[in-house]
Order: sequence, then structure tokens, then C-alpha cells
Amino acid sequence: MKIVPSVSETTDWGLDHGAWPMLMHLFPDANIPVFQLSINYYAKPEYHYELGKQLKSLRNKGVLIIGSGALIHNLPLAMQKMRTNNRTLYGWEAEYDAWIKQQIDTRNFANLINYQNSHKLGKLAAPTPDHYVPVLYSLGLMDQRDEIKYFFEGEPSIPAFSERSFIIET
Amino acid sequence: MKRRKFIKNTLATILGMATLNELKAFTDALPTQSKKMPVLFTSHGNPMDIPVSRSDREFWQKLYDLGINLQKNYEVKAALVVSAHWCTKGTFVNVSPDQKQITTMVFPKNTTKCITMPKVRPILPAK
Repeated sequence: MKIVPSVSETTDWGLDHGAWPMLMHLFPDANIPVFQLSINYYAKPEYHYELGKQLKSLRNKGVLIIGSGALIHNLPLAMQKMRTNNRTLYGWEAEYDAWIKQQIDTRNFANLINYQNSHKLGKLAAPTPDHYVPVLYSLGLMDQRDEIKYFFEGEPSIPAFSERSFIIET
Repeated sequence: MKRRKFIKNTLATILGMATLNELKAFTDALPTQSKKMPVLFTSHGNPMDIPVSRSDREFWQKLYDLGINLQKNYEVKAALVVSAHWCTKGTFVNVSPDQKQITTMVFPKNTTKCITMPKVRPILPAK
């Protein structure tokens, strides 16, 4: 396991597309202070899961931690169809989504951490780590007696994408 | 490095070291709550749906309902968002007092003009 070298503060960022589109619905009054944590693009999946674990104490301080991305996100494939305004799904999304749900429901975090190899569609669903690994922070923050409830699991409105979203609650 | 040491060092890095003065000062000052805060994983949603209203897009409505319930049942003091759209070498926490809105996404030309910038002002509390 590679150790976390350091976490640094910066003021060179604001609220990006991963944060504000959902924050504006979640907290429309903009009354909640928000921090963002970046994705270390070069880190192994375990790094993100372990880092999530280390943030657990913040749950006792009223800090709502939000992993934000998409469990399926293949931008080239999505754009390929959307260039012609075609929003039909490819067909494989449902199979992978069902598998992901099953791994989450059975708490098979090893499979979820090893997402690129644990399912044949893993690399197609997440060709780059950026949109997938935020879920590893959320799962790392989970305690054994917590429950997971999906607050959205409908079909995504664009291909090669997922809008499955959940809350982990004691 | 042994796992225990790794975890200890990481925890120190996250919440104890001088590199995280702002976040640490902020979270340290928060009282420990009796209820443990939930954790979310959210899809950030289809960018093309940003101009779509909650009544026309169930996903946005679900987030809105969730936000109401969270604030009703918990004392939400802050949010920490791990965002897919901020990729770095190393891990960073944004503590900018001026949380400018970043629109890194390239939206299709025909939808860009109908995207109105929402009210986004969740910032660090004034000192």
C-alpha cells in the first residue's frame, strides 16, 4: 500500500461541475459551508478507500461527506451517441449497474475496490478513475452497522452513464 | 509500512498537520454531535439536465427532498465533496473563501445558452 504523502490546502479551486449541480438542489439556500477534496488521479483504488476511512471522525462533527461522480461514466462512448442527439443506452449499462448494486448490497468492497478487474465490463464502465473512485471514499466512511439506501436508481438519461445514488445512514 | 502505522500517519495528515489549518480549525471548533452524520454517494447528474427543473427531472427532485430531510434530522455544519471533476497529483482540500463556480464542462452549443448559473454561495464561514 502506498502511503498518503500529504494533504494540502489550496485556494486555487472553487466549486466545480462535480459539486454545484447537485449542491444547488441539495442545499438551495446555500447555507452550508462546503469544502472540496480532490481526486489523486495517480493513486491506486485502495488509496481512496483508506483515505475515506480516515475521514470517519468528521461524521461525528456534523460534516456531510459526499462522494460525487458516477458509477458508470464513459465519456467517449456517451459523446459518440450524443453528437447526434441520440440518448438511447448501449444496453450493457443495466447489467453492470445490477452487478454494482449487488456488490454494494453484499458489502463486497474488495470487488468494488478492484473494479477494473472484478467484472468484465469494469473497464468499459470506468475507463478512467475520476468518476468511479469517489464511491470508494463513501464506502470507506461506512461503519458496519450502517445501512445503505438508494435514493435514486432510475435509468440514466444519457448512455454510458449512471445516476445510481445512495445514502449511508446509521 | 504497516497498516496501523499507515492509518495513524494518514489520520495525522488529514486532521492533525499544519498543512490543513483551515479545515482542521473549522472542524475542531465544531462540537461532537450525538448523531452520526450520514455519508452520501451521488451521481453528479447528466450535465445536459442542469437547466432542467426539479419538476421535470426526478433526479434533481430526489436530491432536493434528501437535502430537506438531512437538515430536518441532522445538524449539518459543513459538506465535504469528493469531486470527480478535480483531479490532481496528490490530494488537496479546497479552502478558498471565495468559492468561485467552475464550469469546466464543455456543454453542447445549443444548451449552453439556456444554462442559468444557480445560486452557489456555500463558503467557509467568516472568521
